[in-house]
Amino acid sequence: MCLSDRRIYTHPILEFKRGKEITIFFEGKPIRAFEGESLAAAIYAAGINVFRLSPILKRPRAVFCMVGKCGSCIVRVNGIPTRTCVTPAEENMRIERISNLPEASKYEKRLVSEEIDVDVLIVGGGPAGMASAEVLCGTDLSVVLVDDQIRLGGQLIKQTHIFFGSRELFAGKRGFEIAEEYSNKLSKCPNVRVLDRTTVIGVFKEGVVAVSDEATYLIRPKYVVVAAGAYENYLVFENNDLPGIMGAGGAQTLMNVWGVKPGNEILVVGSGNVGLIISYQLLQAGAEVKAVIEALPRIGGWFVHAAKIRRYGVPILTSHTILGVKGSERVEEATIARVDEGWNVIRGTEKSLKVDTVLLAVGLTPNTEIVRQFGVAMKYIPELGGLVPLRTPYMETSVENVFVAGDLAAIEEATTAFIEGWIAGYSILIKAHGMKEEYLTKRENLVRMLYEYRSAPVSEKVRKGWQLSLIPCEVSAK
Amino acid sequence: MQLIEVAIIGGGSTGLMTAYYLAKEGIKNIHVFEEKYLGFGSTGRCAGGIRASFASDVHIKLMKESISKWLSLKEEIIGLDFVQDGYLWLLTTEELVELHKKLSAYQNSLGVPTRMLDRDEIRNLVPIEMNDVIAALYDPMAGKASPLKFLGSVRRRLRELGVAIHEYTPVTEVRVSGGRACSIVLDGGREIRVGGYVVVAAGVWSKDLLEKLGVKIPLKKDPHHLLVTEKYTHFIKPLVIHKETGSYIVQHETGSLLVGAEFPVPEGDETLRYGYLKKAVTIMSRYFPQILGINLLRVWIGYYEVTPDHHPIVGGVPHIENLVTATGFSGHGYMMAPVIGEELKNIILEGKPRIPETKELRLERFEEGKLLKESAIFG
Repeated sequence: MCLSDRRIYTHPILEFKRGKEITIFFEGKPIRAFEGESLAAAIYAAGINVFRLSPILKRPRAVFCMVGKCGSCIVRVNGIPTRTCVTPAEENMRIERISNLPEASKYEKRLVSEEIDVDVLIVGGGPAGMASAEVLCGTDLSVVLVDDQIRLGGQLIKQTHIFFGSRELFAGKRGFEIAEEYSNKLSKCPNVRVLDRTTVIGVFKEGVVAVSDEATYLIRPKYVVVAAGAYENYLVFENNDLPGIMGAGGAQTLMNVWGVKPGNEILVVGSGNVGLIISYQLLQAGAEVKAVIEALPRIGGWFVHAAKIRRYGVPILTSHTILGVKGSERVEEATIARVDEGWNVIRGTEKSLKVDTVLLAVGLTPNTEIVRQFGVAMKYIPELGGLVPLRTPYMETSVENVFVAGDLAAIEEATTAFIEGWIAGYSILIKAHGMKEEYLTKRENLVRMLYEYRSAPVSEKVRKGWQLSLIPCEVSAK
Repeated sequence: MQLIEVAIIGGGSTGLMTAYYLAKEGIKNIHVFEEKYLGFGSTGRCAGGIRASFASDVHIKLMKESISKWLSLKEEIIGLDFVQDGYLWLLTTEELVELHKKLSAYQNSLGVPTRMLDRDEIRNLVPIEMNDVIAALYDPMAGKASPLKFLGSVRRRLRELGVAIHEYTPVTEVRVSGGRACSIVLDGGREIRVGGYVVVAAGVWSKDLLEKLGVKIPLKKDPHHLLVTEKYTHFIKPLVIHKETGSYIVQHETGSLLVGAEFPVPEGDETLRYGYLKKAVTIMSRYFPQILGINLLRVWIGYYEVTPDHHPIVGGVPHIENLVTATGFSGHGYMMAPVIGEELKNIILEGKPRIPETKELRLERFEEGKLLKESAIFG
């Protein structure tokens, strides 16, 4: 059933460390996979376009988000409906398409339940969560970090560009290198326990509940850092559910983490940094980027990133939108058109592009489901990405001892997520150990660093939103 | 000042059904006022089970009528998904079996065709691990309707009928003058005159509104948890109740499963309890191990608004001629909504309900000490 091989074997930057070669079975036919890689990546790499059919209209579905949020890649694995993107491949897995609603079948795995009393619970193992854990590493506070992905590092694991700025903010390093470094560092912290492939499902009176395939945890923390990140926005257009349409972040995971090319001829929608960077990465992976389109009259992301892809001859079409795609099993063609200042489509400017993949890089929404369950005060601040928790400059929410950091507090990027994570970490140390000079100084420096970092003109929106997101003094001084 | 004909306070199933039956009679200028969004208070939080197999004459007669209404509503309103897939009470002790044999005979005498099932019959009905189940009581007349589909489809139908729905519009007060409810006051102070009737169908929150008018109403908030899962192929048709613990499971036509369990929550502290989740899953997975591999979506708390005799309060209130209320459903408001909506319409248009049993639900029964009897309450 080897329709095609979408794996990347040579890459200018990345070297894919694949596990042992194994065989898995998709609809009874053997396909090649590598132990421990994302099952969705393995299926996709074998050239399979349709993972499942939608339950009512029977429309084809495949990978979209690659981080376990969307449900597009659910198939039956050894009889159990499974989100394949966050499930590691194992020898002999039997995968069946689902063309209806999934069937609930008898579940025989033994579930262990464990109760954990801990000083600090960190929800999310991306840059913000890892940064908090780093500050707490080696102290006398016990820490549990819960992350729902196969690999720790959040979005860093798929970031191949070089960070710039100062050395303390990782200048000269690439995202996946930082993720690896932190992951190693945290694994050596005696007081930090990492629960990977585990999802925090709710906040209850008795504690915070997390589940994995094997266990249920009831965690009773004194302090919490919620650093659950964000998820990708979707866009409305004709046939927007067709396989071949992915979140740009989803495609990045596929390509940069698992070494699988999302497609060959690609249209990127959105010219923010994510859209520009992924376009460059697609070129590095040997794909052709037909165009980057942007509804605004100007490019959204940084000049350096735009210049890089322009040098390769990729057109960036501003004041353009996508009207729809066509195709049977996956995208075969996309229609784009020009828009006026009011974002109305200008008739007669429609143009069709022969592409097999459309990547949506149209922003992110803070993932606030868990933090809201703590009862924290929330506010809708479009500048920060939507509904976000209010916080003090020290990242504490309106609920005492519940902290936030990273994209769920404001859609920004890895560097600010790190700084916020560190601030939250020091705030917890200060609460637990009292106003120690050392911690206070470090925290003040970080707060200043964050302020300086955001003083660049590109951060204007965030600066404005940040002001709106602060808890008024009289409330926070409780 | 705006003048409206009927002001319905409460955008839950009872208020919406009242609006529906009034609008169907051609009544114009009907306005529904909801504090949050339709179904926020109780309807959107309920499991959606519908049955006539009760243990009191009043409940049985009204619910038989309500079920026939649910059947016609399914034809009248596109998208409403009522199905008569039955109720199944799993019985795990000999005492429960004996009790339910008697209950079934009583229900049969009132025309509700419940019957006892043995273990083989149960297995034919649901994919169950029998464990300690001895027998079950089955009610083929009962069924279910997804509350979310109900809310969406009824909203659409009411819009077609010209009913005005005002969401995020709390009513803070009903003004009475000369024995008539003459206006309602919205949050923010805006007053709207009511020419015809005021209907108070605000669930447990009816109490506050009516007490401001000097109407004493014996309602207690009783918080209950519920959970919903992702959608799966239909594998459990009837709503299944584990009688001994009051836990239950129902799978709607949409594929979502709802699992309830009794887990008392002290008043004033309505934080979600993990104990509930654990109990619900532990008990139900003994019989349906399939649910252990299913993804949980949400857990929430909703209120049963409980009266001392677990029967609702329906009809007028003393000293106000044009105000009617329907509340105190004690966990059965959604299933009763069609019959109660129609009866409120009858009270408004004809001055009295059509079904004799509705009269027994009058508020005055509590002061007179004439409480009704019911024993088939479950979680």
